Amino acid sequence: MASKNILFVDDEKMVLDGMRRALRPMRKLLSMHFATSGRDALGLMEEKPVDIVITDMRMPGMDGATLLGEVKTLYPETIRIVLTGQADDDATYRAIRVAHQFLTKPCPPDILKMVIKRACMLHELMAHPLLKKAVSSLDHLPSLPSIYVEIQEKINDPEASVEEIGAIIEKDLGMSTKILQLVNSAFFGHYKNIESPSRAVSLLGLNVIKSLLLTLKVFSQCDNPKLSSSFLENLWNHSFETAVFAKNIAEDVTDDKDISDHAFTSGLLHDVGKLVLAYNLPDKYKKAMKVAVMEKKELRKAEFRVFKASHAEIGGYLLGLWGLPGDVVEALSFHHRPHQYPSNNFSIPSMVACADMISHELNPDECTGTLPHLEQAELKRSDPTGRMEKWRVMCRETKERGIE
Amino acid sequence: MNKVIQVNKKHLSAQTKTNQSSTALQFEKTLIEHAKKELSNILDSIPLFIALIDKNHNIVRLNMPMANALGMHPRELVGQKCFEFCHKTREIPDSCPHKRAMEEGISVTVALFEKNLGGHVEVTATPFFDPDGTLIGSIHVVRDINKRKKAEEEKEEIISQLLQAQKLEEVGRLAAGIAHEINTPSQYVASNLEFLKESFDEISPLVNSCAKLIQATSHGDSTESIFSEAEKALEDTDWEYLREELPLAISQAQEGIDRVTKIVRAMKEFSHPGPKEKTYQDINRIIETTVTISKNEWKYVSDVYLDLQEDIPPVYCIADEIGQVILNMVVNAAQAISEKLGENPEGAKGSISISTEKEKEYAKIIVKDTGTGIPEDILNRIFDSFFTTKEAGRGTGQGLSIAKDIVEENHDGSISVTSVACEGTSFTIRLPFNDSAQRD
Ligand SMILES: Nc1ncnc2c1ncn2[C@@H]1O[C@H](COP(=O)(O)OP(=O)(O)O)[C@@H](O)[C@H]1O
Ligand SMILES: [Fe+2]
Ligand SMILES: [Fe+2]
Ligand SMILES: [Mg+2]
Repeated sequence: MASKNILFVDDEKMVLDGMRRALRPMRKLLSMHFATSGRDALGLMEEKPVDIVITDMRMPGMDGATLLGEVKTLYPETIRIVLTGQADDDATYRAIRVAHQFLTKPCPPDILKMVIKRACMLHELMAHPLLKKAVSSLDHLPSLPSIYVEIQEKINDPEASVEEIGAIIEKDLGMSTKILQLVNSAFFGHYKNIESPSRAVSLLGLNVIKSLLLTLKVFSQCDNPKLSSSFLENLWNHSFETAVFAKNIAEDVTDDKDISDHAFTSGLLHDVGKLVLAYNLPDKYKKAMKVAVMEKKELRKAEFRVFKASHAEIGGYLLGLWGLPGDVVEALSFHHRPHQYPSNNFSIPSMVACADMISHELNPDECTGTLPHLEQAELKRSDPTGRMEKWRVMCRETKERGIE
Repeated sequence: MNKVIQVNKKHLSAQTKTNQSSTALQFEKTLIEHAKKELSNILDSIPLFIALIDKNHNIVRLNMPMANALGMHPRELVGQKCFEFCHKTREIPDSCPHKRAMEEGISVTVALFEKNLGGHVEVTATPFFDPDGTLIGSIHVVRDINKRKKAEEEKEEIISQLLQAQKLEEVGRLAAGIAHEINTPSQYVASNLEFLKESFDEISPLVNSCAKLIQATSHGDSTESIFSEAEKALEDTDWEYLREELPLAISQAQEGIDRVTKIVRAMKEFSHPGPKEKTYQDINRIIETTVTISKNEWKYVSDVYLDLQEDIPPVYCIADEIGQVILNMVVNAAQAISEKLGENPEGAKGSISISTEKEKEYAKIIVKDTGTGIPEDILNRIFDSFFTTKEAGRGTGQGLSIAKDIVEENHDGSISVTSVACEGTSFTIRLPFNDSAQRD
């Protein structure tokens, strides 16, 4: 990997000095730059492209959120990370909208190194010339749905109630019907009779509802007469199933609700790249599907041949532009090669990969090309205690219950 | 007693002249008896303690409520020294209003706490003259003021609670800032420690092979292979860089720990600064502590300059309260500067200067800022309770009114302001070094 330009911004010079020293072991991977204010940072970026920005939040003059907002519009491919000493302040909420990652001081050096390594990988993927070429051939990248933005803004208002968020969803009648249909399906356990979006939010959590909404909206944005309805339907069913399975798996390995929520969101969106490709270039995508079937290949390999990029990178790229959480962006980009994802443990990309594989195994007819293949290394990482078998059983049961 | 009867006689003298017979005399006696009875009934039914005291502090007469309060019969008390029974002392107490009433011939009122009279009382001694105009004693009227006292105490309690609440609110607001002030140095302490760890790993092969080399040389063994090992270790170690960075890493880590220690200590001092009563305090230290804990409130918009007179005498004050006053001033100054700077993408900064100086028997504290200034038409309202020009969440309008209360009511000092719109504001606080009693 070429060395990455990383820019640290903090009004305390000592923080920068410490950073420079602590990250010295990564000097082959990183070319480090430093700025003590938002203005200096933007000035520096004008002169030389920066791949990753890590900024403090509160600084004299321009604060971190404002800086990252600027970076987002001026250099959308730059990975944006916040490292703040103050996690409970409204500026922080603003930052969540413009940052891929949110870290708090003091951040242990090994975590910082891990996050930077991931950011480098992600940037490598997103900035790959072939991917960029593929993306530039797409005329219509779906935009971040306005209802999602509206909800996001509501969440930032600490006074906002679940009812108010429910009311935003209710305004969109089609959405609210679909959401209620989904949450009442047995996939989510045995709630049934959830009559209102606000009830759904309080039972399943805002993150789950938000990502359902986002994905449904993107699917409806990409409804194109050139795409067969069975393609869309299969893709939706597979996405939803993968989301539920990934959540199940996450809940089996961790109690961290953020992780299981992100696993759900990642599962739901994991193949959004397929949708984007097929919507923009339907004929070429049909060709890729044909190649996969004829040559008995994995679909993503056929995509590579046709587009010089696969749906995984395209999806990650899109979510990166939207500013979705770094975890989700990474999970998308790496869901077909989780073994390459820098992590010490069984991480979200692996959860999605396993969920994806199980979903395909359970619906062999709907899989175009051969089943996705999981690296031996990854299976080992996830399966030291026969978990994979357990998950297969668990997911099959969920599916059967869901169809009931 | 006799004098009082004389008075009654006078009153009845018109009748006395017309009825000279013995029955008339008898009648007169009855009348007098009636009048006496009427008078004591009236006195006894007044729900106040009333006593007539002669010049020598002897009780001449007293009403029933008072005798009851003292737990004796009026007969037992007449002729006794009032202070022995009312105050249970052998000496005339300093607070005695009777003495002054006798000396100055005027009515004197004092508030006392006297258990024997039922707690908080207000005693009025009014000089009493005989018909010839000779001063013969005083009438004491004792009012029960327990209720009033209680109300006053409650009010004080409420004020002190308000103070405490405002302080807690302020501390709550500060808490996030203080966390930030601790987390930031913690970050670079952690980074520098990581660097020290890595550097140790980098240096130890070099030191190991040097040790081997020395050993081999001193034993006269062949050193060739060890030498090239050492040479390689030296090459792998970026000693140039480490030699420069290691001392810096160590000193910055130390600096970080110092910063954390300082803020933690200041926080402790600010939140329990000791006695709730006045003691002699170092005013400069109170200012430094307050400036330290509020750093996160001002550092993004301003620098703070301290010009504190080193040998200023200690100030007799409640440290807690004075800290609160200074904090309110600093927060106001920082907010005024922030408002003046506006958007400020350049990161420009204003200044807050705080000085102390001895001025006669006062410590003079000046807090000066380069903020928005205060428009003339509101200058006389800023000390009013709940007067604020700030949006909810940023200001409650209590800071200055509490500051004024603390300085003027509780510390006998003064607070004043001068301001030039758009240029800045300067608050001057004067606190007496000593207790008012000692100054008199
Ligand atoms: N240093 C200052 N500079 C400008 N205006 C000030 C300053 N200090 C106080 N004021 C004005 O006085 C008002 C009252 O101050 P204060 O009693 O502390 O309440 P608050 O700060 O909650 O508004 C403020 O709203 C502001 O208009
Ligand atoms: Fe996929
Ligand atoms: Fe998939
Ligand atoms: Mg104030």
